[in-house]
Amino acid sequence: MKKYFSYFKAELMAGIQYRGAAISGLTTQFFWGIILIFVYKAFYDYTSIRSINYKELVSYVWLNQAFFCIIYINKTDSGITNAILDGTVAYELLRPYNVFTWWFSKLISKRYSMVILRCIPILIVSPIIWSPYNLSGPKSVASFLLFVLALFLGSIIVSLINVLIRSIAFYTHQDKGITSIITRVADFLSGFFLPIPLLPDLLIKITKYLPFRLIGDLPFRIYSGNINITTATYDITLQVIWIILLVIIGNIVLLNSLKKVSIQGG
Amino acid sequence: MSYINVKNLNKTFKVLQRDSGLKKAFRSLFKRDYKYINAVDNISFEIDEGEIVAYIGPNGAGKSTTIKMLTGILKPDSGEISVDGFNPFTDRKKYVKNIGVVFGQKSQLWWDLPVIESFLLLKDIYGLSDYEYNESFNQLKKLLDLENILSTPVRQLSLGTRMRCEIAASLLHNPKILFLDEPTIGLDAVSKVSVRKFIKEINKKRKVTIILTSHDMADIEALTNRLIVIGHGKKLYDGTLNGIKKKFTSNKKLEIIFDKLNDIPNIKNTKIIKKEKNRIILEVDTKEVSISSVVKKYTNECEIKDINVYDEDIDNIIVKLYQELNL
Amino acid sequence: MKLIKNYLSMYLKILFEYKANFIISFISQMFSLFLELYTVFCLFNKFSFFKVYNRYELLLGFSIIWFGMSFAEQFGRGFDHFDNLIRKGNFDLLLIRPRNIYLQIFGSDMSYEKSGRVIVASFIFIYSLTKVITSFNILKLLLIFNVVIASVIIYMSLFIASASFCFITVEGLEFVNIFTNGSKQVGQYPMGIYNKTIRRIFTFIIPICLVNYYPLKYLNGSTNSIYYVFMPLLCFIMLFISILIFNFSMKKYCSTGS
Repeated sequence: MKKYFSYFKAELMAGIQYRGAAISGLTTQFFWGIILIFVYKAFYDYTSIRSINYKELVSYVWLNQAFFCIIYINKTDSGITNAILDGTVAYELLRPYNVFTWWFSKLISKRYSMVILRCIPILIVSPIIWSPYNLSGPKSVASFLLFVLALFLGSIIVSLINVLIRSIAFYTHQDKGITSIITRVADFLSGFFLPIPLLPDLLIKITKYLPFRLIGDLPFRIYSGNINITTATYDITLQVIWIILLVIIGNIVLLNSLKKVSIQGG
Repeated sequence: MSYINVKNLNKTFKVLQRDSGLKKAFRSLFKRDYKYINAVDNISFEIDEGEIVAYIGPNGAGKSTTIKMLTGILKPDSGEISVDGFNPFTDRKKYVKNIGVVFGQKSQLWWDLPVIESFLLLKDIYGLSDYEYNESFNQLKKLLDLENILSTPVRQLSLGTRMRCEIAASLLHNPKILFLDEPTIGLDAVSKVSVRKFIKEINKKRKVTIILTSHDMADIEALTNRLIVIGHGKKLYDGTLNGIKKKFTSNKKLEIIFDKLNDIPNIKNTKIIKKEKNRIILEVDTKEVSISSVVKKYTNECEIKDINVYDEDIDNIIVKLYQELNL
Repeated sequence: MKLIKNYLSMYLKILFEYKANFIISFISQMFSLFLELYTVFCLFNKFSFFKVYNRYELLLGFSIIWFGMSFAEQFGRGFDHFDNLIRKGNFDLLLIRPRNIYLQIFGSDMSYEKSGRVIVASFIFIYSLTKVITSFNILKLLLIFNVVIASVIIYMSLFIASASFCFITVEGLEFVNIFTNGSKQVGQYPMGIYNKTIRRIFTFIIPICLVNYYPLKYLNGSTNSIYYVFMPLLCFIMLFISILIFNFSMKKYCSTGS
């Protein structure tokens, strides 16, 4: 446990050292939020839709920007994929611990170390913008607590998905290509580009059977009350089930790719 | 007026100070401390046409800064540089036609393409005519033995071969001055020797003035006798290699080979480094005791078959020099 | 000119060295364009926007923005990824060559990967033109030409201006994406859906309206003013300013080091 924590601390330190990067990431997220809000405004000015109202959508956008580093599937460290390609990943296998756990903790701590610097300023500024462009408060205390829980579980799911993608890249020995397209589709189906209530009805149905919407879409909609408490508890159970499933699948894939590597000798 | 004139050159950098520790790192989010460093501090020197000069100093002494100013990349804070009548910074575009630069750690070759492609592109960049290019290229091809590797992609070349190509690339346009920034870094012994050989030959054949930085003293010993040493941005020494040797070494190594040694004579100011059955190596402080007197004492004790005298290792001399100057 | 041709052929040769890689990125680039287009259509459908907006005008605006950006990304990669050049110190290598620095930066990095987007965007652009334009004349042809040039110039200027930041710092260049990706995000929808303030920002600050809003009015026949034909060329002011900024920062870099 200690080694994971010191890794987390090191990542956080590195993040702070590069103040410029943190500030610029923050500015990007902030302005990106504003741009999206104005784009959506153009649509809501014309007509409103049943599945999500403008206020809920604006909160969705701000939370999306604040927790960008947690929920964006594509946001993996390029270091590892490079390591896979140039073969230095062999060192990973020499380490005296479980590769699955190590990758998972590395990925999740990277995400949290990045999000800490970025979410706080956005969460401070976005509520004080004039209405209706601001981040509104949570629907209720219960929905806030469930939001925190769902976001935490979501961060586990996304990191598990990253480990899975990484294992596949490890197996196919390819970084770009198929995996990058899969990641894009996954991000799309997670509501990252377009909130799930705005997707066509058919796609909304499909997302129900996939884990991606459980990463960011679920917590953000719980927060604004777009998903009610009963459905929320049901979906959170679903998150736990998916976590178990992903751990099992991930381990199987990783085991197979490790076997392949040891046969081929890296 | 010499070929290259540098007078009272100065350059100061503002450097960010980074502290360790999470708390301090957090503080640095809001407040940053800067430090001013005199990278080059009032340096002057002159170099004649056709000379080879080694420019040395410990890491961070200001070597690259000087090279950058000499090549027109960086503007000096104050002081004058004139190279062949040009001011490198203000006349940059005209000036750089006259110089070739090899940075040991940066490549000007196209990683994925055969070497010849990079050469042909350089031909266009420098606007060389076919005649100029062919003449220069053929000469370099022979000199650097490039014939067989021209169609190999750069990424497949060994480090030594690549360095030969880098040097060729920087000489294609027939520059009058060549700057070599650590040309032998990372090379194996054989490649080092051959790179040195080429540098010497080019200097002789094309009368190119060469300014060289290196951490490898053997490079310098093989290539030149003129040495400029800097540390903390200041010029510390400018003169011959022998001069520095004389100044900083009094120790020599003496190797004596014999059949049988009766007794080891006890001589002050000598130290036994190694002793074998029929061989002994001594370190002699020549300021206190002469080599001949040591040899004399040994002749009394044994029948000497052979004697060798070695100067102290150049690396050690430089270490001593740095120590003496408190670097 | 000859040098540009040379650079282009050098990168073409590299492409052949990595054929498989190229094909994969080419496809994935096309894919990302289609995904964005799909997103736009999703929103339009969801809000029943097609009742008021012509879908070909939507495609026209979308494709010209993507064309300009992808083309600039492809050939202006040296500026787009200028931080790499500075970080590795290779910018110094360019300074020791007796050639125009802009030309060399263009030549320093290039990738044909984005051609996937350029090609798809061009096809959509031409297809939607045939649907939008009912009566054709030489001025419209001239306008189309101007629009194509301007779309590239606008993004090139953005890249050049943002590359100037690299002289000051190479960390944290993420925020310059706001201008490029942000304008793409806004501009891939018809500018007509926004209010006046937003349209003004994107006319006077990042002038994408010059290529995807005003020209449309002329092309679909809602205005006949000749000014509209030459309006896209105003983007050269932006290019001029960007070059000034870049030159200024470069001068500063050369006197302070990095």
